[in-house]
Amino acid sequence: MRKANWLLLLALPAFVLWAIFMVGPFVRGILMSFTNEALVGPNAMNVHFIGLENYRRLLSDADFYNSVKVSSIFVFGSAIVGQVGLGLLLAVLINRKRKIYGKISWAIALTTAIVILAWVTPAAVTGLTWTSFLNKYGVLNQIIGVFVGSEVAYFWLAKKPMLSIILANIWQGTGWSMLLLGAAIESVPHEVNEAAEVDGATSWQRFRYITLPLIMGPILVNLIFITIWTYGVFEVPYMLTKGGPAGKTELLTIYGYQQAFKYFDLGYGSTVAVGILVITMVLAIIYYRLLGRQAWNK
Amino acid sequence: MKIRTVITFLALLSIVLLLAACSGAPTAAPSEQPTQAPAQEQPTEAPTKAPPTPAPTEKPVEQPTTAPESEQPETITLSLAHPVWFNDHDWTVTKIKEWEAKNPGVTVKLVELPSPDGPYREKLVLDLASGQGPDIYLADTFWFGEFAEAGYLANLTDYVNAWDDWSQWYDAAKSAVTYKDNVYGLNRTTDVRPLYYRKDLFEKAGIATPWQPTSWDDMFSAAQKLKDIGVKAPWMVKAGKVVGEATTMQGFYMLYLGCGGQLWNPETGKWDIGSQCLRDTFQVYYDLYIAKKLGGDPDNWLAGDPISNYRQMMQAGELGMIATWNGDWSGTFGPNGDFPLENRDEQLAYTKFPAQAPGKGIRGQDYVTISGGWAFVVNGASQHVDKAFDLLAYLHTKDNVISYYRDQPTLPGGLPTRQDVTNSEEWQSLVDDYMLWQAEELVPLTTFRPPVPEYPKVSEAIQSATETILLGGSVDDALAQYQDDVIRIVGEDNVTK
Repeated sequence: MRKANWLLLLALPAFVLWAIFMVGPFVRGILMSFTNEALVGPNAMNVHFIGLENYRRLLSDADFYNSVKVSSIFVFGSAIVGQVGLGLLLAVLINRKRKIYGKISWAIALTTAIVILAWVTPAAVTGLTWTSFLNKYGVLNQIIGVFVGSEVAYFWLAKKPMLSIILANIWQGTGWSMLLLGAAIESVPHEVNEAAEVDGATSWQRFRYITLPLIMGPILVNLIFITIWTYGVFEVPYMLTKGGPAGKTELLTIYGYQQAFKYFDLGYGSTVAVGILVITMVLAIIYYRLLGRQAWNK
Repeated sequence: MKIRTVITFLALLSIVLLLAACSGAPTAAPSEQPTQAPAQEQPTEAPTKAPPTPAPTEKPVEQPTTAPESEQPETITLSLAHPVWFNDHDWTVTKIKEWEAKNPGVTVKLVELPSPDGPYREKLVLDLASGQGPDIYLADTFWFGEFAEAGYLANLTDYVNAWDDWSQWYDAAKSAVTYKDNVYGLNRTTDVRPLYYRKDLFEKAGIATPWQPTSWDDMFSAAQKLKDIGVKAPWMVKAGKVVGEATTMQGFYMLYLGCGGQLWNPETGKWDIGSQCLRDTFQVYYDLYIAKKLGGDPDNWLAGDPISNYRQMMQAGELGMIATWNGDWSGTFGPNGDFPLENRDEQLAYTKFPAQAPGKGIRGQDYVTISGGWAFVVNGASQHVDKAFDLLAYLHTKDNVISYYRDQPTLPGGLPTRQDVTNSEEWQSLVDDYMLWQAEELVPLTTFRPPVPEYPKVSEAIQSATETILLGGSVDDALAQYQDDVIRIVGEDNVTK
């Protein structure tokens, strides 16, 4: 009992910091979503609670629904299919236990380094790099130009804005999934695989029936992380398209940012942020349920 | 069982919060507002931000600085921004030093907030809202409504009325810094918008120069001739959300004023959402970019850096004509500009932007233009409004405004707002023909944007509507969208259909 008290005391500083920097702003944000708080215009001098007005506005706001749709496409394309899918593929390919590993270890090291490099590059740099890559006279068009033999001036950011931000986000974020799933694959006991091989299982069958079920837990955990992260992604898409053209890439974060820091409508901006929170919470609960069932099956 | 559920929920919530915070989403409270005392009554015109000074309006003008204030040296923080056009920093520093020498005990601290307009405004507003704002700052005049209502601007009406020089200000310039009958700043300079065209391309297309179109039809037929000789973008009109206010000021407004449009009626307080002129304006966008394809690729305005892009196109001879900011002449296309033309005076020319047809423009004008410009203002929460105004007045004396044009390495792009300056021989001998032309031909024609807090949001709705057209939407689509947006911003009762 005494020991437990001591432990609580030792954890206290961490709790205090958590309360100040996480809980405080969180509560303030929620409270703000019930006010008309603004930084410019008459409301800046006349802040008061307006009840559920912001939420009523949110639910009848076509731009908000557009953002939910845009964000969901973005999450599905760049996080679930892109980062987790590609990350899993890369994780399998760079597995040290593959027989071919000895022969292509340099290629694997190089791939790993490149993917991780993209992951650790600051978002501002990634944003600028991709802007120049996808520009009308950018690197991508010049590369395509070499193959088709004439000048290409296709404006990716204007013509294919969603594809552009999805590709940039996959490029940036795959390293995480690769590392996490790579570690999970390497923890799969070698004996099980060997036994299956002796029984005549093909490599696809071994992956499908042995590796995949054994790493389902890490995959789900990864999905939780990536989904929540990606709903919160802001910097690179904002630098690439600023949510345009005509709201086609206006992610929830960009929409909320614009309400709060372009129009300085903090009340409504906070309401949008609460909307993001609710969506990610719901998804987290669904994943968590799946994870529970997964553990049960084992 | 229940406890486990609660714990699980809390754990999940923390994870979501942590992850959301890690990814940099603006989830939670961005700034604290210490002085945000919930006001009991509707704010009047006088910005009375909670604790600091009494409302400036109530302050007797001649009030001598109180005893304790003059005994201890005070520090005024003067914040200067560097948007692309603001390159008079060194000159300003020199003048501030002069003023400090005349005001012992007062120190001016320069706080530079680097950036283009959008981020500058963002940083500034956050500083002002947190009570950490500078005493004096530069503000775009179209922010005045929103800023005055929020208490970020000190009312300078009594100060300017007691200042003899104020009578030298042009009325149009005065109205640019006036909101609800109160003066909130001193214009640094003002600007106007001419139409630029590539003289060499026009001659090649068989159009006689100097060229002066008298209607939109003139412009369309010239654009068609330019297209026939292979000019990529014969006539560009600024459009879309990416370039922000430039779309409204230099694209939309130049057309809209030309068919007599009045976006906001000062008498009724209503916004135009359904006039024929509004429709005609969007029709020009549609014809240029979609139907007749005379405006170049609409994508130019949808992503990337459209401003640099059109400048580059002008330099490369791919752009025929465009209405834009007056400072582009020297700042962009001049010998020291960002996109210099080899032989500017032979290649580029400027002229007045015509109304839809002669006499159809606002106030029955044949030609139209619009002015904006930045002003020095005093923070509504400043403790030193007297001293701050004294410094501003010093920066804008007749001698100093002339010095502004005389003592800088390159000629500034903006126009002075004092009549005694523009009428002085010294100033006229300092500036080039282009600036004299603007002062004589464009300044008398000029107009200003609605000085109301809703304007920036309505302006955004305009930009959004033009973007809809760029993406292939019809004029009806753009109008419908614009109507919805404006009704949402100002309310059903404040629009004219």
